[in-house]
Amino acid sequence: MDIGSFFVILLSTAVTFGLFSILTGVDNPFFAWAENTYVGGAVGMTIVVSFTWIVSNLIQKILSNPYVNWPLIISLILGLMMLLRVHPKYSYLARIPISIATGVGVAVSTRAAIFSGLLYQIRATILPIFDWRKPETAFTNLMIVVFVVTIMTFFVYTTELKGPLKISHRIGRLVLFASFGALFAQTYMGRLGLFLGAMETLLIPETNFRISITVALIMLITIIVLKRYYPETLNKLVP
Amino acid sequence: MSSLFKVFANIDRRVWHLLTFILVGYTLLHPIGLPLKVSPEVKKAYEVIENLKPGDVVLINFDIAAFGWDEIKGSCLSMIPHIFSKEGVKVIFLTVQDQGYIFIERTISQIGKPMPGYDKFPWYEIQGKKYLQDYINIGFIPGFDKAIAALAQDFRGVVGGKDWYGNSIEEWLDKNGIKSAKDIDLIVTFDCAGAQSYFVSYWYVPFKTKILNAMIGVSAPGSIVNYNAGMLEGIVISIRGAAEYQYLSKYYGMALVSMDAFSIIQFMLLIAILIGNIGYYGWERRKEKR
Repeated sequence: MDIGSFFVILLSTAVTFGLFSILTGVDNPFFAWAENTYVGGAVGMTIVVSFTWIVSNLIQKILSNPYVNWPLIISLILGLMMLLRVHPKYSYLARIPISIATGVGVAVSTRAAIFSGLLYQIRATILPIFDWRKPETAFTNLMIVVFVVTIMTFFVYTTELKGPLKISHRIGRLVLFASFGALFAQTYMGRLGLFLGAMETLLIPETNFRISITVALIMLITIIVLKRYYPETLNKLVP
Repeated sequence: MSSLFKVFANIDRRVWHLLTFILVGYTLLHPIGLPLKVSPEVKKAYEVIENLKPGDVVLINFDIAAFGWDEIKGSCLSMIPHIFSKEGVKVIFLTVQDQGYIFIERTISQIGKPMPGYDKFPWYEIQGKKYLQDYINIGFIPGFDKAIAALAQDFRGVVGGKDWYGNSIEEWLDKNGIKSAKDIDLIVTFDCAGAQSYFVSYWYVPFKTKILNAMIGVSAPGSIVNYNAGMLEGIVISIRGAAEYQYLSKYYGMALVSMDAFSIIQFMLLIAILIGNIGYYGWERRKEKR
C-alpha cells in the first residue's frame, strides 16, 4: 500500500469512528471534528462541482455563440438574481426566479403525479380476487383490496362512525399500526445495511482492520481519560 | 426475580452498541454461511438484465452520495458487471448527485481495467467493452428531478455534445441511434435519494421505459409502492437485495458475506426487544405502581 492510500484510509477511518464516537454518550471533540469535516467537505464538493458545470455548460456555450444560445443568457441572469436573496436591499428580486422555478416545477410534476401517484396506484389495487387456480395470489389480492378500503374509511371524518363503517374504521386503524411497524422494521433494516456497509469498509481487507482497531482504541481511550480526569478540557474542546 | 427484572430494565444502551460492533465485526470476518432465499422482485430484476438484447441501450443513473455508498455498492458491483456481460448492449452512465461521478469512477475501476495504452479515466475496459465504443459517462447533471424531467424532454440537448471528460459523444450517440429518451431501452437507477420516482413520472409514464431500481433501505417503501403498481420492473433493496443479486448473477461479493451479520443482528434486536419488555413490565411498570 502506498503512502497516499494509507492516509486516505486513515482519514476515512478516523472520520467514521469520529462519528460513531457519539455512541459513547459523551459529547467529544472527535465527533465535532468529524461532523464539521463531513459537512464542510460535502458543501465544498457541491460548490466546486456545480461551479465547474456552470462554467462548462453555461458560460462557455454563451461565449462560444451568444446569438444561438441566447436563452442561456436569461438563465444566467435568473440564476444571478437568485443569489440576491442574501442582499438585504435587493432580496425582493430573488422572488422572480424562485416564482419561475416553482411554477415550472409544479407544471412539470402535476401531470406526471396524477398518473404515477394516483391513477397507476388505483389501477394497482384493482385486482382479481377470485382466481381459484392461484389461491395464494387471490388471498394476497383480497387482503390488498380489503386493507385499502378499510384504511380509506379510517380517514372518513365527515360522518358519525357506526355500524359497518365503525368496524371498517377499526380494522383500518389496526392495519395502519401494522404498516407503521413494517415501515419501522424497514427503516431499521436500512440503517443496519448502512452500518454493515461501513463496517465492511472498516474491517476488510486486513490493513483496514488494523487501522480501524488502532484508531477506535485511541479515540475510546482518549474520550475515557478526558471524561474521567480532564472534564474541563473536554468541555473546552467541544464547540 | 425482581433483581433480574431490574438488571434487564437498566442495561446501559452502550452495551448494545458494543455488542453490535463485536457481533458484526466477528461475523464479517468469520462468515457462517446461513441460507439465503431469493425474493421475486430481485429475480425479476435479474431476468430483465439477463434478457437484454444486442443493440439495447441502458441508462445507468447513480443517485449516490457518500452516506449511502457503503450500502448500495453491493448492488452496483453485481448489477453493472451483469449488464456489461450482455453482448452488444450499450451503456450510458449518468449521475444526478454532485458526488455521484466519484462513485461511477470507483465502480468502473473496481469492475474494469485500463484500456491498453491508457492509465486513467475515462479509458477503462469493462468485460471487453471499451469506452466511447460501448459505453460513455456523461457525468453529473444538476437539478435532480428537473434534470430527469429535462432529459426525458430533450435528451440530446441536455446531455450536450460532450461527456464528463470533454470528449465528443455526438458520433457515439448517432451511431447507436440515440436521438431522444424513447431510444433508451432500460433505466437502472441506484438510489440514495429516491430518483426512481422521477424516472417513473417522467420516463415510465410517457414512454413506458423499463426501470430497475436498487436503493438503500430507507428509500425502499417508495420503491416498493411503485413496484407493486407495476411501474418498476424489479427492485433490489439494500444489502439484502444486493446479496440475492450477487447469488443469482454469480458476481459474488461482500453483500453476500454480510448477510450472516445481518441475520445475527436481527436476532440480537429481537432478544433486545424481549429483554427490554421483560425489564419494563417486570420492573419499571411495577415501580410506577409502587
